[in-house]
Amino acid sequence: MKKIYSLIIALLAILEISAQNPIGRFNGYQVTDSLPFDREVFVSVDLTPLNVSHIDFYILEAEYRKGAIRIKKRRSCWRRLFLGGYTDYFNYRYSVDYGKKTPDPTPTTTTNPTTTTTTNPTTDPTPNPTPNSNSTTTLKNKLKPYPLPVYIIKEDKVSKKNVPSPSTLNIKNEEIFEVKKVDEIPDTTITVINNSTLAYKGKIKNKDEKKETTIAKVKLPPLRPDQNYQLIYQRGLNDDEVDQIITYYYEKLYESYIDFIVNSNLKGTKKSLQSEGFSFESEKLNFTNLDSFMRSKNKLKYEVGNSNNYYLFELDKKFIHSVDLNTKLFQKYNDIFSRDETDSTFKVYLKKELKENPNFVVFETSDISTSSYKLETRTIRQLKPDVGFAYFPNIYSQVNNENGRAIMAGTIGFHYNFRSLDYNNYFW
Amino acid sequence: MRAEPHKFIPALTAGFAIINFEDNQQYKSLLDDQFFSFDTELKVNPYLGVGINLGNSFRINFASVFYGLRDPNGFSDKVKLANRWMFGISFDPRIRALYNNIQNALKTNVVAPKS
Repeated sequence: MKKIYSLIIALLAILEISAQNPIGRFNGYQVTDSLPFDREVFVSVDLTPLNVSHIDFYILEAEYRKGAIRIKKRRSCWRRLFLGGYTDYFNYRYSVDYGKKTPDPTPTTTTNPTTTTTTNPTTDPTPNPTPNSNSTTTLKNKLKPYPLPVYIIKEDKVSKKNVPSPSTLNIKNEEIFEVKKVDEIPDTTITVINNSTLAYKGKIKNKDEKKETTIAKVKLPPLRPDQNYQLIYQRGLNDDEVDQIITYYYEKLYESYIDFIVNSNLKGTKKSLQSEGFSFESEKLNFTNLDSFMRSKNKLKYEVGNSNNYYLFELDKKFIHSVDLNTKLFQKYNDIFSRDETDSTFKVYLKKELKENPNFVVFETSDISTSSYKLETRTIRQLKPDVGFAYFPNIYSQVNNENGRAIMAGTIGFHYNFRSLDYNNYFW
Repeated sequence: MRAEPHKFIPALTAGFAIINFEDNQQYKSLLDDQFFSFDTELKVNPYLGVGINLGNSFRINFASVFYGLRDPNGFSDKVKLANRWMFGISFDPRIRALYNNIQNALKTNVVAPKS
């Protein structure tokens, strides 16, 4: 009997431990308000409007607060990404049409989620885009699709004389769409030319001239022709102004409480990218103090790309850098990331285990900006059917004082999980 | 290094154990069929216990099976409620859930990198 009592006590201890989940902790998430245990947040992403057809992978985080759900920036993204706690994201559901689609005749804004930046010390000043810190964002706005990453191209890379006429570009498919307006940034219309060279032509609507002027043809690295990219061109900015734009832009991002990891689609080395027209403000991050860096992780946003190459960028509120992979940081977390030894300054590869993690939704293309997503809660059916087999040791001993007799039985019943299971997470 | 904090989630399990006494006739009469009984050699007795989820589909269960027990010496016809511990493994019989879990388990490299 003592053994039975011990077993009972042990089981009660297990139950007690499971019952000690703090209020508001749901599915591994610490939320500020309690989330009923019978509710679960799903993020539905509808990718059907896309003519480009996939996102690489993304991380969404939702927060349930005061009856509303919003996407929440995850402060511990860095820790989760590199320390392995990335399996406990909220459940999400998505619908995606694999494979290419017929281009949408009325495309909306699209994005190449890679964020690369160059500074542009030029002589053509434009109004200083002061970040609008007083902007109010409603919940509805917060649930809008992701803010689009920004390309800022050095002005010397674009000039009128470099812009050939459309006839010489062999334009096969021209799509014009409005770049998302970012307050102080002038309205910019980008013409994306999807031809074999993927030339980019930008038009900027100058406030003074009130007419559109073709300003740029930006040649990007070889990219898939079925993908669209956003280009925000801002001329005449010095470094500080560019920083302010980026700061403002990503403050917008933070306001939307979105943290995501998306595809960069930029292949090649830093050198090759530079030859394609990109330049980099800095090649290295100073990770001399890992601890302080980790403490500041909540100010950072990371992007990891897919395709053959996975890139990691560190986005600070003040600057954007590419990451020096020779830092201790990456040396420490080599089990998560591997790097291209031949070009240690740019390429980062997600290791196979991370790519295979079903929490990272990996699709075939890289555009989620035109998709819509919605959040919803659904009741978790915790009480689930259950069948199995059971083994009764010594069942007969109680009957006739025999020992060592056992019997097998089949069981049919129900089980109630004390915490929700993530059906997207694992099988075993 | 990878943390999967929700892998072993406790569960409460309850149901019925179907015991086949076909080869144990001498004990069958001692176990009272107060809950369910069929004309076959099966007895159905309830169980109640806890389980530990192994992933989404499988659980290891520790439960107590309740049954009516007659006086084995035959001095009394009274039936007392007895219980014995059992342990076993169970799974979610829903085909869709199993299918999804298997698909998730097999979901590797959803995207073949484009070179």
